[in-house]
Amino acid sequence: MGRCEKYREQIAELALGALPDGECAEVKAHAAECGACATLLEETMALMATLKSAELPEPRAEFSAGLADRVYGELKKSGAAPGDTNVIPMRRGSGHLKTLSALAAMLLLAVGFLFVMKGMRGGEDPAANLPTDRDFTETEIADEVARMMGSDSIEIVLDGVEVEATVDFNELSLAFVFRDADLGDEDMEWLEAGLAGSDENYTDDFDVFFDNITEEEAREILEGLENSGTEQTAVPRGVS
Amino acid sequence: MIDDVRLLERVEAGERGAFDDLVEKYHREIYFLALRIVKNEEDAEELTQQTFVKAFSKLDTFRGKSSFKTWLYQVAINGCRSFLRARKQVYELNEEIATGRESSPDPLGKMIKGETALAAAKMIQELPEKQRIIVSLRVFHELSYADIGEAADCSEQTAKVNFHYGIENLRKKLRENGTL
Repeated sequence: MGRCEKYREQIAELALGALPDGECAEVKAHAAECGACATLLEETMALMATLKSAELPEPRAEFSAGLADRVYGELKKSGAAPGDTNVIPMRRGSGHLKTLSALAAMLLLAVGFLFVMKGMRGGEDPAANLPTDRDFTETEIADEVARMMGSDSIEIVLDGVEVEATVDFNELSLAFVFRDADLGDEDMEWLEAGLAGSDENYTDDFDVFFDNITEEEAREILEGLENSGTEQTAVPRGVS
Repeated sequence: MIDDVRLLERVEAGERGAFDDLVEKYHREIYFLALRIVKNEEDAEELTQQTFVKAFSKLDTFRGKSSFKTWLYQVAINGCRSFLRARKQVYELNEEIATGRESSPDPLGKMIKGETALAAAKMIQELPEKQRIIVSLRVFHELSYADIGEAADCSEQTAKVNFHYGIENLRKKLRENGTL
């Protein structure tokens, strides 16, 4: 029986047509002497032939014909079409965020940025600025991340400053999009310090995008990121 | 035929023709893979499109560890799995709202001609998700176990074991229903 076990895997490969010639001959020679393996080979050959006969319908001609245009259109709309001049890869991270809790922490960090930025701008306690209808607590953020298991992005809007955190659970990566952020000098410093401070805890690899902010603002932030020692990709997108 | 590395270089340089060539080259395979996983033509079309959108928008994360084709398969499989998870949630919600509603129809039956072929296709659909994906990648897309491991996010050995369990399951089912 031990000998037969050895041939079981090879029989499937032989039936697939994926076994080297030399091994084919060996398996066939064994099957010629072993009734059980001969039956197995015969059944597996029949199974593969049956499977291969189950051909699926071709994609619709109109789907295939316009696909490249539609994909390109979607990419163009999001500013991610290949060769787009406003997409400037700065640096690529070497690792990945490892755990869901790290993602939750990163999301918390993003929200924290906004809270502090709002606070700094108004000179008030950030907590006092929390909108009553979006009073995020750490638990809520963690719950939100758990909810996102079924989707891959969340948008958080706090008094006109919008952050979209895009989480890819399959690749364990995370991207932040800061939109319409009217950032002052202090905001920049805080952002840089925040990212630098986050490094040793959980920052490993993430993308940052900026929409509708000035080029100068974007450059300052990118320089800050470069100097922070973190390992993220920083990509200005839609910079005015 | 121009290899994918050259095509990708041209895509990254902004050459639209190379982009079209890559979509044209792989869209059928991705469509068939998606169709085998989600079992619905309309959804398979949408997932095929989203696979290319996602792949090209994240091209900078493709590190050339595997072939572009394997990486594309990985993006497609991940997309299909997310889709199935979301659909399962919606389906369960609908079930709660309308208890007693007829269960999901058999879209595959409308697509495949021939009694034996249909029986085989249905049996593949009954396999556990991982076995179904791995058997499909091996039998229909002819990927090596190493590539299957990359695409399906598992080890080469896991791919091999799941393939052989899947084949054994299929053989058993076909034997039971008298096809073999």
